[in-house]
Amino acid sequence: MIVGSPRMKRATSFSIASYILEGLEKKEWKTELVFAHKLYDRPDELKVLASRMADYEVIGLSFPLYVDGIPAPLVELLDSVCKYKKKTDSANQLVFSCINSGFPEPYHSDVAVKMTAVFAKKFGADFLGGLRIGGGGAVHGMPIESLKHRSKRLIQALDETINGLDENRCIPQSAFELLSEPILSKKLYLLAAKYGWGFRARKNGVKDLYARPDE
Amino acid sequence: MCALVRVFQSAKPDDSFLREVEKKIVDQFESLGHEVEVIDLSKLSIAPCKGCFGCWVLSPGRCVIDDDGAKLTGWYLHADAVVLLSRICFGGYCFTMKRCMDRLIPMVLPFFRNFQGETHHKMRYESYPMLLSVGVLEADDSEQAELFQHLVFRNALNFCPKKTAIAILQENAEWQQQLSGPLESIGGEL
Repeated sequence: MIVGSPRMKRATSFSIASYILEGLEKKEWKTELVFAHKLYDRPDELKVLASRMADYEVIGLSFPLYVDGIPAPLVELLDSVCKYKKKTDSANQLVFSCINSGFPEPYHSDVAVKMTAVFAKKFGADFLGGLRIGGGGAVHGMPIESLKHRSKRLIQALDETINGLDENRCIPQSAFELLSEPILSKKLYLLAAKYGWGFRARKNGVKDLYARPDE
Repeated sequence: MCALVRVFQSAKPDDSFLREVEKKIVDQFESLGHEVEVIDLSKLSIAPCKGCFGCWVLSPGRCVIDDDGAKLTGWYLHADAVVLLSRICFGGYCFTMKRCMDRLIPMVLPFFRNFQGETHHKMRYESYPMLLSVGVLEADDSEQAELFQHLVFRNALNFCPKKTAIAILQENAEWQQQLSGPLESIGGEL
């Protein structure tokens, strides 16, 4: 799994990626987790990664939605591995993506899902689909197991993804459908967001969240 | 009326085609009597966004990273029109341009608004410059062209430019023609 969040181990993207990997390890898969931001601007290490990727049958991308797309360091990583991939490298590879968005509606990630599909095509792999996690702020970097009272649907979708990958090398349609709505009630999520930012700002001694320094 | 147009150029130093497109854009706007400034992103020190939300809850509207990236929002907002010039990568902006886009997040508020039934960020400022996004494809690729258009449309829902135009070019004989309509669409409004 390639995690595309700058927050690395504190990231929701990491929570999701590590949950998937732990699930696959229990089924005796060999797994690896890579942070895109650790390889930023390191072409030699990106070359090494590209050659290592040939050893994996399935490549997963887990990242936060950034300006409706893929975070920049992950764009660099994906572009580099396409360039460095040798024609003799493994064929029949599979790619899937998990995109967590701060917006409650999952469809905000549609463009980013399609971008990962374009990456898969350029990389020479088949695309299994993209899981769109709307209201990803509700995860807040916590372990997925701790969310059983907050979002059973997310856990179920990830469990179905793990089982689908293990048994059939695919992600079942039911996993995508479980995530067709925000993982937390939209009303509750918007309320939490509205008051949460103010709370965090006050903790920092910030009074005016509406400041316009570039006016 | 003389307007300020800022061209955010993401070309690598050896990308002569993107430099040629830049020149065409600069010449066009200057011929209309406007002031044009090119922001060469490859020459700037722009770290990737840290995802710290400091621009929302620590120094609202201002990125906490002390590099050229912190100046991007000012350059963007103080222009009457902004041109984003980038090669298209996986249907989106190239890494250099995306690194710039990610650092523009301080331009919006953390709070949400409902727009046409969708949740989007509230605007921090009263208004935002017009936007021309110019994407360059290596070869004819309708899938990436369509995706790029969709991306620019989605970005506009959050960044709310006064007007948006998109040009998708290829390195062929028709590129100037492909660029002229979108250029006129923005130039005519300045």
